[in-house]
Amino acid sequence: MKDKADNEKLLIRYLLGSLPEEQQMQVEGGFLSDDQRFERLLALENELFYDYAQNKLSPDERELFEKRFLSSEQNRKRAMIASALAHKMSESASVETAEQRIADREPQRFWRSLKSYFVAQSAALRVSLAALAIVSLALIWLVIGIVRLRNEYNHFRAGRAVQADRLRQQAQQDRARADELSLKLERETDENSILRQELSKMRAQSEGQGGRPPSVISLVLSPSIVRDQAPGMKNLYLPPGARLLKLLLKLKGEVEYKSYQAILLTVEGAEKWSRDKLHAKRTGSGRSIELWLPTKTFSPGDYELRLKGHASDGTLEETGDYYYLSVRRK
Amino acid sequence: MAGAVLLRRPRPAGRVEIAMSTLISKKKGWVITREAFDRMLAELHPDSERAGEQYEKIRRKLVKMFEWRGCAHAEECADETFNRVAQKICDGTSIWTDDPYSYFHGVALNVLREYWRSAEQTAKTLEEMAQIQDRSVDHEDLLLRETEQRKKERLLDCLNRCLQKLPPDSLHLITRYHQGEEMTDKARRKQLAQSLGIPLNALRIRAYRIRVAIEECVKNCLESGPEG
Repeated sequence: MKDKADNEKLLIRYLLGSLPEEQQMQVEGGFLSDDQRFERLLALENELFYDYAQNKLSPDERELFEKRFLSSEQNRKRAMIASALAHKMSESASVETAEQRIADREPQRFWRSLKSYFVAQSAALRVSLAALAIVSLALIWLVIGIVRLRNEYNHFRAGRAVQADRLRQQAQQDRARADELSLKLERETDENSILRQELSKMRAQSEGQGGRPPSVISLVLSPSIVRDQAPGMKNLYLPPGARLLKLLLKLKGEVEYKSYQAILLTVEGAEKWSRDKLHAKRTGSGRSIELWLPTKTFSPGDYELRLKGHASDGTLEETGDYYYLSVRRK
Repeated sequence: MAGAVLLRRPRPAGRVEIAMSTLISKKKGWVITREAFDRMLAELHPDSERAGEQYEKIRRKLVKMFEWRGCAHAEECADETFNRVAQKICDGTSIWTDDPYSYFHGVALNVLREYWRSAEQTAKTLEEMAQIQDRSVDHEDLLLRETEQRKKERLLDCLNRCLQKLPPDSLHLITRYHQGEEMTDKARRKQLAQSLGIPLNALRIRAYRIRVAIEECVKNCLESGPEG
């Protein structure tokens, strides 16, 4: 029963209405209860429209199809669509087949024609090839020359760029040095003006005291090697009229700092005086720093002068130079 | 035996347009009510949604069955089948146990037989009328041909549009499926099915679905008017 119902020819006969009633009922029983069989039958029915459009039906089938299906407007429309679509598909199929054939034959035809051309034109070909070879060589030589020139030019450009960088760096360094020097000059000018003011003040005071000249005491201090032990401690007697003390600190350390800081401490470690941004001066006996201190800073007692240096990276380091001073008043 | 004789009665070739209202429904004098329809659905499935689906499925199959049997009023015949089944349920008849399809099939065949009987009676009259009309409509025939030509042009335009919308794979498959050169259809389609790795029957269904999609697209395009 199932085989019969599934038989394609039998189903087509059912659709065309040429099956005996009993078999029609069997087919109907099959598709009413089975969705897949129903869809298959729908597919076969649809295909019949295309077979009709493509003239694939036998004359009997064609007649039955026309009687069964083409009497309704709806099915006539279906047949028209099927006919148009079948026509389109046969067009595209023939185009596709033709394209495939052309694609298959194209390489063979191309190579064959190329080969025959070379065989037929061998004499002319030799001359042409020779000319072609000369032209090719000339072209290669030209290209190599251009490439070499371009390399040289690039090398030259790179050298110039390096040189320009160096000059730029040097100019920057010079500018930095000039800035530093102008800063230094400015500081020293400031310091000088302060001292000058102090001197003029002292002069005015001394004039008020009977025209005696201002008293300035100078002292040269050498650094002690060992801290807190001062074999070279200098004794300083301050006369009553002395206003300023000029200290010349001899530098011993090998390291040369950008600037220095001097701090005056009592033996108890209390800071009495300090001055920053001091610069060393080179003299015939070595490097030294000059300090100007008002004598009123000192009361009788022992003092330590500590020196620190500003390194190039800005940090403050101990120079290792310590100066000791014992002050007495007359 | 009487039933069997009735089943083998010759039917009219093709389809004959006849008025369904005089053919079936009024003859029975019974009109389906909402309650009767609901009772029939409840017999199909206890869940109303599933019952609705079952109804649609059976109706679709019955419509096609009537069409394939040459009935020009397939939809009305299918509805009449449901009316009769609903009527029987209202009368208290137990209509099916396991297989509702065979019961519907039986009722549908009765509707079909009645259709054939009425169709035979009216066919002769209609043919005569058609012959009389044919002799007097030469100029109308000319107009009809022009209209047909325009329809054909419109159809081709719609078809081109629909084919452009079709995925390339589908177009390739359907083209190869119907490519009628060099080999027989069967051998070529077998080869195509093998290349796609599917059975021949699955290929047939696939091709059918593509064709239906194209046909639906063309129908919609034609119905949307000349600009659509």
